[in-house]
Formats: sequence, C-alpha cells, structure tokens
Amino acid sequence: MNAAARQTHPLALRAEGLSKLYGSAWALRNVSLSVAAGETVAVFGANGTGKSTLIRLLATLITPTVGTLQVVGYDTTRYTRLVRRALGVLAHQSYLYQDLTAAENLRLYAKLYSLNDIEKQVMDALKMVGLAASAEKRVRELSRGMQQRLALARSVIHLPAVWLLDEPDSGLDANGVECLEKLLAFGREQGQTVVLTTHQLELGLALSHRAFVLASGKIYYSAPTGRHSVEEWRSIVLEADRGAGNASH
Amino acid sequence: MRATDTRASNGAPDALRPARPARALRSSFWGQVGALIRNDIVREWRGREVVGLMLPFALTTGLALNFTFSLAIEQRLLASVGALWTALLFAMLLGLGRAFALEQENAVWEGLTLAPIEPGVLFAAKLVSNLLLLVALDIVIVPAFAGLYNLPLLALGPLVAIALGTLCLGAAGTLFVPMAGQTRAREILLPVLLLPLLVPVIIGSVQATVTAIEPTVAGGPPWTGLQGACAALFLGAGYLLYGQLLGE
Repeated sequence: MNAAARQTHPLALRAEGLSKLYGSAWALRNVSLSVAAGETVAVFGANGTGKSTLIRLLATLITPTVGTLQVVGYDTTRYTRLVRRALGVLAHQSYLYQDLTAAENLRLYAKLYSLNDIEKQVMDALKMVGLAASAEKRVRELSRGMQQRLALARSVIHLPAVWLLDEPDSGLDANGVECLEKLLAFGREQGQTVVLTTHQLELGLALSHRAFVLASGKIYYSAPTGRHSVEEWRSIVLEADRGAGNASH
Repeated sequence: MRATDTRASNGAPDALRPARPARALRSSFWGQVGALIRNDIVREWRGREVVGLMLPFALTTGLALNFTFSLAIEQRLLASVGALWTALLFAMLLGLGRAFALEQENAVWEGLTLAPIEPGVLFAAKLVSNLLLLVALDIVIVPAFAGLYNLPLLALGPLVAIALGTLCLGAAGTLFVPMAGQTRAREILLPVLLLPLLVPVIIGSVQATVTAIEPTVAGGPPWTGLQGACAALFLGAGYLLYGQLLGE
C-alpha cells in the first residue's frame, strides 16, 4: 500500500447514511463506509442485496436518495465530472463498441481520458489482460471472457485512483482470473483503491484487505479478510442471506 | 497504462484538477470530438446499419407518395416539397433512433458519460456524426425526389433551405434522441417528444424550399430566418443541456 498516498488523502471513499430507493423498494439502506486510499475491499452478498447499486452509487451513475458520498474528498453530487476523472468502473456491461476492434475501443477511451502516448498505453493494457494478439479483432468476434478482460483493461487504462469492479471475475476462465489477479496486484503496487463485488468468496478474500457482507441493502458484517477462514466467511454470507430472507417474510 | 502516469494519482484531490493551459484544453476538446466522430464513421462504414435503414425508408416513402398525388400544378409543388420533408423527417427519426440504440449496446453510452469530458465534447461529436448521416441521406434523396417529382431542387436556393432544415433536424435529434433513448418507452417517446417540437422546422423548411423554387408561391415571413432561429435554439439548448443529460 502506498503510505504516502494515505497520508496525502487518507480516505478514497466515504459514504454516510447512503440509501437508494427504486420506486417503493429500498435497494440500499443507511450504508456508511470508509475505504482508505490503497485499500482493496470486497463486497459479498446474495443476488439482490444491493452490491451493484452500491457500485453504481460510488461510480456516480446514480444519485443517492439519502446520504452523502465523497470520492477522494469530493462530494459526488457537486463535483461529478471531477470525481469521474478519479474512477475506473467495470459494470455488468462492457461499455465496448461491438463493431470496433479491441485496440480501437481502448484508443477511444484513452483519448477521452486525455492520456499521453496512447498507442503504448493501449498495447500495455492489452498485454496486461492477455489480449495483445487479439488487438485487431472486433469485439463481436471475441468470446465472453475475452470481452470481460477487455472491459477490465478499458476500466483502468487511465490508472484511476479508485477502481470499482462489479463482478470482475464474471465469465472469466482460469487464465482470465489469473489476469485479473495480476491486474489487481499491479493496482495494489501503485497504491490504487479497489472496491470489488464477487460471488467467488475465495477469490474476493484473496484479493482484498477487508470485506463487507450486504443483506437486504444493509451492511450485515464487515471485517478484515484475514480475521476469518473462507468457510467462516461463507457461513456469514449464508447467515446474512437467511436472515434477510426471514426478515422479509 | 504506466506507473508513471499520475493523471489521477493515488487519492490526492489536487491531482484531479486539470492543470493544463487553455490551449491544451481546447486541443484536447477537438481531439476528443475528432476521436468520437472517427469511431462513429468507422462503425457506420463497417455496419451501414443507420444509412442502410434511412435510405430505403425515405426512397420508398417518396415513391409511394409520388403515385398517390394527382394534384393541380400549383398545389403539386407544395405537396411534393412536403413529401420530401416528410420522408426526411421520418427517416431521421428512424435513423438517429437506431444510431442511439447502437450506442446502448453494451451500455457504451453510459461508458462515454463516465469519461471526464466536457458535455460539449459529446454534443459536438454526436451532432457532427448525426449531420454526416443526414447529409448522406440528403445526397441520395434530394436528387431522387428531384427526378421523381420533377422538382428543380439542385439549385443554390433550394439546397440552402434543405441544408438549414437538415441542420435543424440534426441538432434536435442530437438533443432529444438520447433523452428519449434512455427511457423504457423510447420507440414511442421519441416521436411524441420530437414531432411537436419539429413542427416549426418542417413548416419553415417546406415553405423555404418552395419559396426558393418558386418565389411567387409562398411569400410571407422569412422562412429561412425561422429555420435559422430553430437551428440556433436547438444548438444552444443542446450545448447547454448536455451536462444534465450526462447526469452532472
């Protein structure tokens, strides 16, 4: 972890009483959390517990119904564009043009993020996710896993301060997961802050310093990942899901 | 992707502020606009999904209407020009709607809005891309209508009126298609939202084209002025409102 970065601005993310209402249903309720600069945090929870809503709120894609959110010290509703400069977002959809090649897609985003030396950055990013040989293939010709790897490269090509990765392992084979691990190790070396959601407990725990478990849109439990074994974490996630199920009945 | 790139480094807020001189920002503005337009052209060239939809629609409309008209000469001019603008209007609605649907595949539009670009960058780029599509449509449709309806459209006056009307359609489409396109009922909402707003544009464009062909027929207000005012309104509103559209 980059100690200097922590001293400069200790909190990469800070949410206070964050809630999101869709129609008459609360997708997220009174979530407060802080993520230190350079920290990697995993968010676990069953489907529909609010993981993606949390990521979309942090990504400024939706605004909170209640609560405040700061990214690198800036309020996300007041300084949206400034905050977006600091974010790298991997969502469920790839944000890639189907009729452009892998390299053309990355070149476009590199240009939009005003990067220098674009060709080198694009090739470095493609190599990092093991797609250098597919640089000139159109996205629609790539497999689901390759598209996910390319989406990963797209999300962090500008080396953002905060990486928000919603199920980054989705659709990845063993090689793809290895690429993801390498990419996150690279991010950790650079002192980037990472928030990721996943259903793969082993992977999430191996990649993260701390984990949150969500249930019914609330934080059910949070602790450093090393505090419990994988099996204990699994029990906590199941217990959270059952508890939420019982509460809703 | 290099460790030395400190553009948005390690949680230090000051590092997020663009500390580049105004000239560099301007160059970045046009560089980003150029990159977006280039991508739109490349995608359309490869797929021909939008022009390939607009052209047959507009041509078929022109052909069908041509067989239904049996009017007196003085009415025929107004009706023929009206048919031209009807075909252009509905082809625009179809084409720009389709172009935006392609932006929504894989949620690319959301990805673009997440990039820290000036709202004006996206508006300018999408405006130019949409205008290129509409100009491509004009290049085929205007001569086709000139032949079908025996209209002298390929002269300076009518071409200026068509160019101004196309600018209005492009600007309005660029502004409103993403608004309607992000809703669930987009296929219905787009014409419902856009057609009433385009009534002055269509009236102005029909009358300006007719006046340019036959100055004695239409007369009345300065129709090209109305077209110009509509274009200025849609361009100004688009430039100012695109930030809201991007969720800022």
